[in-house]
Amino acid sequence: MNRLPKLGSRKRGDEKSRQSKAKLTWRSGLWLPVIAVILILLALIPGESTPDLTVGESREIPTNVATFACPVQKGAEVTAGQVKAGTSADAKAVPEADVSDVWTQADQWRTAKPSAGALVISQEGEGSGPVGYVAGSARKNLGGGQLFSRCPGLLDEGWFVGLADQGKSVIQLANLGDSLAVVDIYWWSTLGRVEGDHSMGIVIDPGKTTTVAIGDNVPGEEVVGARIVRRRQQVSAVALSANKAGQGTEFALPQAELDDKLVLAGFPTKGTATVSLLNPHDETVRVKIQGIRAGGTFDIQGLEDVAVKPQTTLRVDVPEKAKLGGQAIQLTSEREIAAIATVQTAKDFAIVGPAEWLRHPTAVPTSLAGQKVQLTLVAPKESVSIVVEGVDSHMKVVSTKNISVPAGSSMVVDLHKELGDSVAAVVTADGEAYAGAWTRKGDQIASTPLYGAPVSARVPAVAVH
Amino acid sequence: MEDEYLDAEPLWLENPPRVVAIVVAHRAERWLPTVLESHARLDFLPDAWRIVHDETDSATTDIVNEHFESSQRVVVPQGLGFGAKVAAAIEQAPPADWYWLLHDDVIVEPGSLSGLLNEATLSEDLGAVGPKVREWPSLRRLLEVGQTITGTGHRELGLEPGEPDAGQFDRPRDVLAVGTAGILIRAEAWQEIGGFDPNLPLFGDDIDFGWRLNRAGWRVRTAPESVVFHAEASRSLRRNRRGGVRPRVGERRSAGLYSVLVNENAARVPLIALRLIFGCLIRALGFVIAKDFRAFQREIAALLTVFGSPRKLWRARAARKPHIKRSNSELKELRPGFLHPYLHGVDVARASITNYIRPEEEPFMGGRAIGGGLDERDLLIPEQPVPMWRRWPWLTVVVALFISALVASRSLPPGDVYSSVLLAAPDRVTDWWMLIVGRSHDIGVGSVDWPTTAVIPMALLAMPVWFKPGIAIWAVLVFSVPLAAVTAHRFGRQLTDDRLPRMLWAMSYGLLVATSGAVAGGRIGTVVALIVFPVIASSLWRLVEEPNWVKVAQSAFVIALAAAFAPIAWWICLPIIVVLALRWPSVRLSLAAVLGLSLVLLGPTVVTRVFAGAKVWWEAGAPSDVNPSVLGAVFGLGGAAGQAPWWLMLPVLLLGLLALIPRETRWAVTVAWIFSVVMLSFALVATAVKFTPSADIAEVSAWAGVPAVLWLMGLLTAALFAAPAVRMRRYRQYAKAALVIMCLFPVVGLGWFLGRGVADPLVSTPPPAIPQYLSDASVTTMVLTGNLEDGIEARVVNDLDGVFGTEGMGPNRQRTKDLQRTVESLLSRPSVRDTEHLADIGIGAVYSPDADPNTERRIDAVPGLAPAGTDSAESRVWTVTGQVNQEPADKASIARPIIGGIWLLLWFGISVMSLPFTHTVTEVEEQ
Repeated sequence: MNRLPKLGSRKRGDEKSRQSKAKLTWRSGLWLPVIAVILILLALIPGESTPDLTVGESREIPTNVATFACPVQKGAEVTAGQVKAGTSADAKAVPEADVSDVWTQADQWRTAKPSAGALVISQEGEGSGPVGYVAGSARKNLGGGQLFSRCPGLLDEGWFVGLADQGKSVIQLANLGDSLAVVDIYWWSTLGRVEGDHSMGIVIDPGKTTTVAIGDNVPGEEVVGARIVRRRQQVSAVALSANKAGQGTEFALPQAELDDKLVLAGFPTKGTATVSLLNPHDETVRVKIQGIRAGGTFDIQGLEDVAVKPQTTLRVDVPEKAKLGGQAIQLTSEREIAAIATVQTAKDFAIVGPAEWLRHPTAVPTSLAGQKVQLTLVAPKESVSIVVEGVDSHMKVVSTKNISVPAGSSMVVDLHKELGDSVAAVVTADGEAYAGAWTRKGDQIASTPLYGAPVSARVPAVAVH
Repeated sequence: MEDEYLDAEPLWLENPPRVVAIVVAHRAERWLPTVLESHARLDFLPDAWRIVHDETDSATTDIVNEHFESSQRVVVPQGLGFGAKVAAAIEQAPPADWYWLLHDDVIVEPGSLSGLLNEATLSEDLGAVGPKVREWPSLRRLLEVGQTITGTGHRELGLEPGEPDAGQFDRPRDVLAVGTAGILIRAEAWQEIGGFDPNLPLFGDDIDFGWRLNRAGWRVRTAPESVVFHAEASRSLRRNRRGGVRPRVGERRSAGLYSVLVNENAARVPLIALRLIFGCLIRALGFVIAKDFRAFQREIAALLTVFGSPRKLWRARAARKPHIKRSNSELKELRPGFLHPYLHGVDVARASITNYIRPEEEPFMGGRAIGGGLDERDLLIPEQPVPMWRRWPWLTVVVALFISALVASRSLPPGDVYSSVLLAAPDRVTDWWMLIVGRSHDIGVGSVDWPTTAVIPMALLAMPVWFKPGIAIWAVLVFSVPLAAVTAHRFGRQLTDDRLPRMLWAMSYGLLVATSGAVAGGRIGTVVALIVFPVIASSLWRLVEEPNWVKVAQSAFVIALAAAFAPIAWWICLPIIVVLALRWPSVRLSLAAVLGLSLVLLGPTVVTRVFAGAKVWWEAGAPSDVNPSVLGAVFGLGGAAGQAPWWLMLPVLLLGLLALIPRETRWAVTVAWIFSVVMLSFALVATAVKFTPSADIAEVSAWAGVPAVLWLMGLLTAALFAAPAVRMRRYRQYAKAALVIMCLFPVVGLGWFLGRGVADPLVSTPPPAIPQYLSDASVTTMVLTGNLEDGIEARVVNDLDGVFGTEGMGPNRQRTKDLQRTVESLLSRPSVRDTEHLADIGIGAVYSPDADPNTERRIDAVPGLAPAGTDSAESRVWTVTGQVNQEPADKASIARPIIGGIWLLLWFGISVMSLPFTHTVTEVEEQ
């Protein structure tokens, strides 16, 4: 056994010290604190720091499944289609009723007259982008008139404005899920916030619909704004705005979120227009309303600077000389607002809602329930090339129309006329473009804003630990 | 009157009994002449002599032939046992009342036989009488005054080791048995029970014989008036056994087991057998711990020998049965108590621990008399009237540190402890074992990963508190200061002989563990590594001194232990080992083996931590960000909550600098400083390092605690090396000042430790990861945090989530990706398929502890998820309404439990081997 000496023993130290004097001067060790200080100073030199990783940013991914719910009036015709053939589709009626098998053909455009209520279609297929439209004539007791609307998707939160206590104006809520749905509705009028009597915690049984009458909550008001918040389950919402004077009925779709730049596209070519605004903020919001025609964007006299008081709604008339028939308006506001335009004829009225930027292709029937569909294309900022493909019921492209919309202008396309035998048009834009579809048969008018088909979805960044 | 009575001739002389003396001789030329001389001096001679001899050597044969007539000589074949030889002699002996058995190495006093007869003739029921046996040649130590056997089969003499004869056993008493050296056996009794058991040729025949006599209704009694002196030539291996009976391995032990099994009451035999089997196994384990592998071998051999021959036991019991007249319950007074053998174990444990703590160089073992070995040292019974703190100052300091640690833990009762770094202990210690050998684990959505290696030592440590494994973690943290001080002090014995500086040095090191913030922060990795580090240094030192495979295993074990908790410890050891290998080339192979074996012990941690780049800084526990600073590292602070103020370390730095002043000690001080600077380099690197524990987790800064403390430890060691200089004339005037500076840190540091305590951020109750009712129902729950804009973090909480050791475990990449896609879908375009997928992978609930309204609304829209009750207004819970798959996890291959088992065995074996207890009991000493 080779027992090592104790380093701390005095004897050893003395001996080694003598050795160090004789041989190894480096053992003086006095330079070690100096080295330590140099190391510390080197470590104090700041280095580049990289920002901490966060979970990440949300991103777009192709949609595998999308659902929409068509509000069906008795005798109304529904068409369901897509921008790309899907793989399968499920359909159900709310309230529960027999549903035709035709709706399950995910690779076709299909049209039928389902039973009244809501027709819910869930279609699968990556990037299929299912869309649905409903058209027909409103019941006389609701004011009659022509209906034409895109079928809304699932609602998280939606804004309505321009509804009126016309006795028959309602918001229809449908529970598309399999358990109780709960919805809150907040109300505004021209006078300010309104506490609705029965509008918080509205419970909808699974597979059922509920109708909320505007007059029950905001009686006597003409410009009613509403915010619908879904608290539980899958819900769709649509407003049916009826004219008390019996001069028409129209579907109003919820505006998904407030915005400070809104494009209301698809004014029918007849009627006088008004614009309804909702400012849910606590300060006055100033709004600039401009018309967009084929010739370009223009200020509408008297609407260059509209002040909307805090927590109120406001309706302003659009001068007739603005000549917006078939065209669009653009609203630019200091803060995010909700807005719609209403076009009134002698027998009917139409609601022109905010269109969404067509970041994705969309599809619209060329005619439905005998109504020939017109398309208003808007390029508010820069010129946009738009391809309109006419497809038959089997999604075969039968005609194509390339359209260039100059910057700050709009353009109307008569789909039925331009695309011949096509049953639907698939619209694809390569820039910031908006579109609205409208129909007119004499004084019977209808309009609906177009959104990009749900070919993709923005998903939040998710990190799994 | 009394004197007159004593001086009177005994009554038996009127009609003296016939006594045949039987001397058994075997290779006894060394002792026999002296023995025969003593026979000649007897004041009462036997009627006849018989000497039994096997003629294995001519020298003994010549002596025998010279002293005994042919009629007195009984020649027996070689290889017979003692009992058989006696039986052969009795067969050829004339009729007698008593047989007096004498060994060839037993010298008798003149009154030996008469003393025996004085006692033997007092009662008709005395079957055997034994003399007081003292040691030859010391003539003073008592070897035996009657004997008995414990319930575990060990001979019990009732004597302290080396106990001198001071007349304390001079009162005759009934005993279970007496030794065969000088025993006087009534011929009638001999004939009745058939002599010695032939199954006990070498050992245990005396106890068995006495026990049988007692059970046959005879009494066995000591006659202290009769004194013989026994050289114990066979036991002390001084006798050449050639031609005699060759003892088998463990024969003495097997004789004890055999005696108990064949003489106990039949009804108790099954229970006794169980007791003996488990007792032998536990003793064998104890021998392994003490690294006494021969004793281990003997114990196991005895167990197998005895229990491997049930027929022999049965026959022996059958042979005894006809003679039984008394039950063992009547002999209760003659046997030791049930607990007696276990008290000896307590003595050994106590002595081992004391031996580890106290600074004395000489190992100290034994204490309770069950027949330990005798040594001249045992006769030295120092009388030290000084108080304990002066006799054992270090032991006193350790006790004080333990008490201080308890005071510092005042707000943390024994049990679970938790911090953002320290994960909770499982409910059962088996959960830790199953992490090693199980094929799938209830972690997240199921994992087949290996846990951190630290689980194994933690599980071993928690075995005694299997019912509450958290106590093991609590104990390590709370007692880290005294434990680190103890290990440092033990290493300090190898560094210096100066007791006071060594104690201050060790105490300071213990306190550095606390001041770094590791204890209060729950950084058990740092704590364990720092406790173990002095042991690493000590082991490597001893390995260099005496390389052997046990020391290689010990060094590898302690390095692996430290690295299992703090992987950087392996890299810290590497340069030390390299330097040792360069300095002492002869131990290079051993040092290489140390490194290799340590990596084997570390297992998967080698890949996941030790050789995983910056992740080497990820210590045991959850990766938690710290706020490292260069100055913090210089002051030995880790940079997290719970650390001491920086100025507390100033005395340590000052000591390090002052240590460089004396030229006489500078060689050793330089060595310490070099170590310090290397450790400082490690610490400074740590302050600049960030690592990403796993994908999608934000990177965290490294914790520099281990090298930062070791840097200060190096400075303290420099001061320790310099301490002898103050005794030199040149520095003597500074002695008091140096002492004050050395005491500064221990005193102020202990004050800080006591004042602050070890709690905060360490707490005793971990915050629940999910609502209690979900955990009670063992519902695998997905916890969602964050928001849609900044991103959502999803964590699946299963039964074992948040348990110490599972921090690096998770599902495989594919399963993680699947879950990520499902959550994305849930939060963007939910469908019932998403819920079904959750159910398929075992998730039964979704919990949002601080629900973002947008996220909440999205989840509300998910088909198949129903809102459920929660534990706070800010949180939300949704439960899956469909059937949830209860066994969703993948399973590792069948090889996993096998590999895990081998890994565990390796750890178990090497950890047992590495325990700092050594004890060698030869077979001779065993009884």
